[in-house]
Amino acid sequence: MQRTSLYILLSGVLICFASIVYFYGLVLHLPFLVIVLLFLAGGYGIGRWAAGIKTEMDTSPNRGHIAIIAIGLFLIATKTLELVQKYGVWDAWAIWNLHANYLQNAATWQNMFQNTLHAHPDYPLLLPNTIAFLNNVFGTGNVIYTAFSFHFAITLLIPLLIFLQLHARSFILAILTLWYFATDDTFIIQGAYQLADVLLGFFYLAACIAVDSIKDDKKMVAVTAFLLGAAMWTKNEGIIFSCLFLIFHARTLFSKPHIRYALSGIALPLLTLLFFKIAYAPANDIVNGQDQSTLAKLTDVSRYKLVYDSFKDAIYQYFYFPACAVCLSILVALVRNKMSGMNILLVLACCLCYLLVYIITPIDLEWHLQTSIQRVLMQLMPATVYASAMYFTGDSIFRFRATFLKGR
Amino acid sequence: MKPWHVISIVALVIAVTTLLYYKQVSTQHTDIDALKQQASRIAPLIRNGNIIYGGDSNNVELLLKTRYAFAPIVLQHRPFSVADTVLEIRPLTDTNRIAATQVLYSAADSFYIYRLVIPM
Repeated sequence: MQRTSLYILLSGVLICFASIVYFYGLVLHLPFLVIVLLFLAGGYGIGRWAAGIKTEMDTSPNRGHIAIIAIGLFLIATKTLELVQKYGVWDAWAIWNLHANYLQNAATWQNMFQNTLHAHPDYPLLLPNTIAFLNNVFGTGNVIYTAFSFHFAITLLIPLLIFLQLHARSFILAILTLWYFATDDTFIIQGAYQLADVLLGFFYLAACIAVDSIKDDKKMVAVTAFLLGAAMWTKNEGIIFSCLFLIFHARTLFSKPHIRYALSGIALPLLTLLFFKIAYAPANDIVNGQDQSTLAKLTDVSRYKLVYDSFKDAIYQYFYFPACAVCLSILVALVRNKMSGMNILLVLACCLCYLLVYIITPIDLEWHLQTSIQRVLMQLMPATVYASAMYFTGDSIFRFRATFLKGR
Repeated sequence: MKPWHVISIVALVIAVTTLLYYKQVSTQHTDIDALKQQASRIAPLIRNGNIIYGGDSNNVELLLKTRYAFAPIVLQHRPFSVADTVLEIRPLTDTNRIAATQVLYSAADSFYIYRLVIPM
């Protein structure tokens, strides 16, 4: 991992840290200045600690690379301005930015928990807390400008991070993935929607990159764990992904020399999430809606068919290339008679769990699928592209060729 | 590539795009006369209440939109404790819902109106 990639991962850590500090500031009625000072002190500490992380040597300035990055980001910017809506979509102003508005006001922020019908006050607070915090720092009053800048920054960081990870392994593939993100309306519009899904996708991607870098430095275990905690603190789906991640990478994260780092990394966001869920958040509608009918839903074949059809349509319509890459990697793994990449299997398992949630949802299934399947698959898309690209730029293809030639 | 090269480009793109976004959306206001005209078209659908709007006179927009059942709709003003207006739209047909959605779809500048409660 290059130094620039590490800085991007640390920006994710700082975002989560800012939201946690701001949350405790609200809980403990701390003056905003104290919250800012605590954030600065913590951020300085994180920076000092991370300065010792070993990374690859940065290559000398390459104008070609910089020009490619600039063009890619410019394309995303122009497309974003073309697609953006003033207030984002329904979920942006009725949930995420609405929460940010409540959380801006230290005196009345708990009123958000009264709005239980459609504002989902059980959702974790990383995104609204961060926007409220930044909005109070910049004093812009209206959250929409802060929200736009924040979401746009995350939208830029995802393809940038993948490009930086890939360009030393395969320059062509790095350019192709950057081009894919820069021209994919589905991805860009999700960022312009001002929802939490792209941010969650960023944390999934960051955790996958961080875990791949553990071999370079043990401290990356703590970074990985903190990023998983950040995913949990962003959205409830993040809890599913993080649990699966911990299972899939258990041997790495919980090995004897690493377990101390893993626990210390995940502790702060996990404890904050538990505190929020126990002390403030009302019950989640999907969890709360489970009763005797759940078993009937699990055995209802028509529900599986509906979910499968929606999933298939979403894949064909929005995520065709990432899906092809995953299928190809599985094919290569089958020919080699080896397991596919760990992160690819993780993404597939997470996707399966997401689909299972649809089966047991207490909400009208058709409506639920129609309004969310594209968004939840988008959360997995950056990690999917990264995992597939890393698989194809690793030694898998050479060994695949060797296996193939041996077979002949 | 040095980190500061990349960070500078990202910061520049974010700053310029945010400025352009500000320029683009800060001029997007609902025309009050057009709004009133549209409101009058669904007046028969509105019972027991008024359409309310927030913001200053140059900046009047409604914060109402729904994908759920429509009636009744309660809007609450800051600090979220007083129900200002109740809109009931009946009968609850698809046509009415679409008409009302078209008219009421918008959002308030500076989130003057914050809270939307739509009991099913």
